[in-house]
Amino acid sequence: MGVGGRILRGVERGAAFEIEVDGRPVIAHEGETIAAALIASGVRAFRHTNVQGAPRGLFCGMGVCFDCVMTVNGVPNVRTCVTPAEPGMKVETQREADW
Amino acid sequence: MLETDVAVVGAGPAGLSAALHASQAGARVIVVDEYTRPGGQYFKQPPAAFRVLDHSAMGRDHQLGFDLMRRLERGQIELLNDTLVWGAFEPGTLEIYRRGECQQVRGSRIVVATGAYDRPMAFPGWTLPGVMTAGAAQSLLKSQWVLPGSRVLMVGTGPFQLPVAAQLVKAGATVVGVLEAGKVSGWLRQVPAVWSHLDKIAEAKDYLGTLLRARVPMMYGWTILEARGSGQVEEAVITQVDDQWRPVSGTERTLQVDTICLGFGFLPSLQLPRLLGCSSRWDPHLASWVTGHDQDQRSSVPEVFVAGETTGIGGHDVALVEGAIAGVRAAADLGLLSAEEAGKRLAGLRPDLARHQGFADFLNRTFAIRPGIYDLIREDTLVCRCEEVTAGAVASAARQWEGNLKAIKRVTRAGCGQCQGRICGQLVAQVAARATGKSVEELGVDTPRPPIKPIPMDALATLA
Repeated sequence: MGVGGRILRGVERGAAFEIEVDGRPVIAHEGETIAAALIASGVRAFRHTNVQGAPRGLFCGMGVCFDCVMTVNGVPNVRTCVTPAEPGMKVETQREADW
Repeated sequence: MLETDVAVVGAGPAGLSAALHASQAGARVIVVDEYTRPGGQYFKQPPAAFRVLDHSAMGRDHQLGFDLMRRLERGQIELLNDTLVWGAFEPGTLEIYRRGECQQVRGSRIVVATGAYDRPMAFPGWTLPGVMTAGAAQSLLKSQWVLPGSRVLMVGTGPFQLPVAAQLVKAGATVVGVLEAGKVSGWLRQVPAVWSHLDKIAEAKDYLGTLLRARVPMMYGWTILEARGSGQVEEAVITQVDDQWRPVSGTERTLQVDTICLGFGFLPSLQLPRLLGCSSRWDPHLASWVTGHDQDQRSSVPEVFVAGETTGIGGHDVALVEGAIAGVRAAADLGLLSAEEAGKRLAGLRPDLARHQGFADFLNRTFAIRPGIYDLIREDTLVCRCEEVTAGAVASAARQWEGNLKAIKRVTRAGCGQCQGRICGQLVAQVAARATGKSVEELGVDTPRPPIKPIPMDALATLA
């Protein structure tokens, strides 16, 4: 647990709420991307690859590489680095390319 | 179908500048942007729900960005945010995906300002969670106010490593080292005085001061050899490199880290200009293709202008001026400015462009990628992250098909995944060039096929 974390000084965040990641609650703030909320709570592997089953996480951080994709509210391949978290969102780790 | 005078793709410095200048000349403008908030990467804004109290943490130029955004709100400019451009089948018409539906935007003139992304560099372990681009780390810090890790190693080349390392230190991370592959210590003193970029030099010195005070080792002539860890990064093996950036064996050291940031400069985003038929040219210092244009930012397709990083890596100063030139010229094309008025406005912009371009060229020359860095890639190193294709597989296909990039793609599937070759394209070309003894330039540049960004199949169905 816990290599990343929120920077507390110098900013006031939006309201906090919970999202559900693989069945477990994770705190997110209004406006935060799903990836940022996960990294802030120490989660780094967002999916496992199709061929090698290897873990992958945030890589480009700008929607180019598609390595951070997860299944969000049942929709696969959502880029978590550019998608804001919303209250009650259900986020799941992808085990294979769902497409 | 949305119709407009000038359709701009990309709401970064170049796109916003083009939109504002075209709009000031009386053009109706639509700006299409992939992200929720305008600004692109350089002027990336925090989420609307965040209130920034410490503006110094945002970097020197963010005020400039905020001013641009405020002018955007006041102008006759329609911003389509959260919108992907995924194709182009007819001249002047962009296929977009927005809010679950496919639509078209038709512009009498198009300005492509699709920017750039961090140059990917492959080595054993580069796919482990915790290895990310310097841009990803900066985005987390500046926009999301989240630390990417606790013990961070910066690896790469060029001045962009400095602000990211300094921001990490200020935010409370331990930066275990900044590895610059080039032996360029003292490069700041070599900036020719004629460009008088004193502000930029002062900025770089500021960052260096922050790193010095935090006792961050600045290591010139070093780079990464391997990232190791179970499930995520735990160790970095680093090495000294020679003048061509080949690893020097026997110099390896192992560092305990949880995050590795790769800052090997940037690659122009070429998919959309290539899809629109704009020709590219090879830039030897960047070791990349860039979108070609004339002095008015007009591409090889007369109705399409290109501005900013897609034309070569120049930074936001170059992007702002190129955008302005494109915006003025596009408006003049449509008869909204007299030839005399357009000429006057353009003449006012050109000296600025020359000055900023001079500084950018100096940086690109000083921090040019040396070919030995690709020695980091081993047979079993993945070059295509999406389709999990190794360098060995690419090299063998390259030998069989004499370096034909299309054939290599078909045989190995490298470049067929969701990123559509944005990450692996340059690495595949480097591996193929080495395997065949040809130059990357000789191998040419691949033209993408739509959709250049994945869109849901059911959205495509709304087209019919």
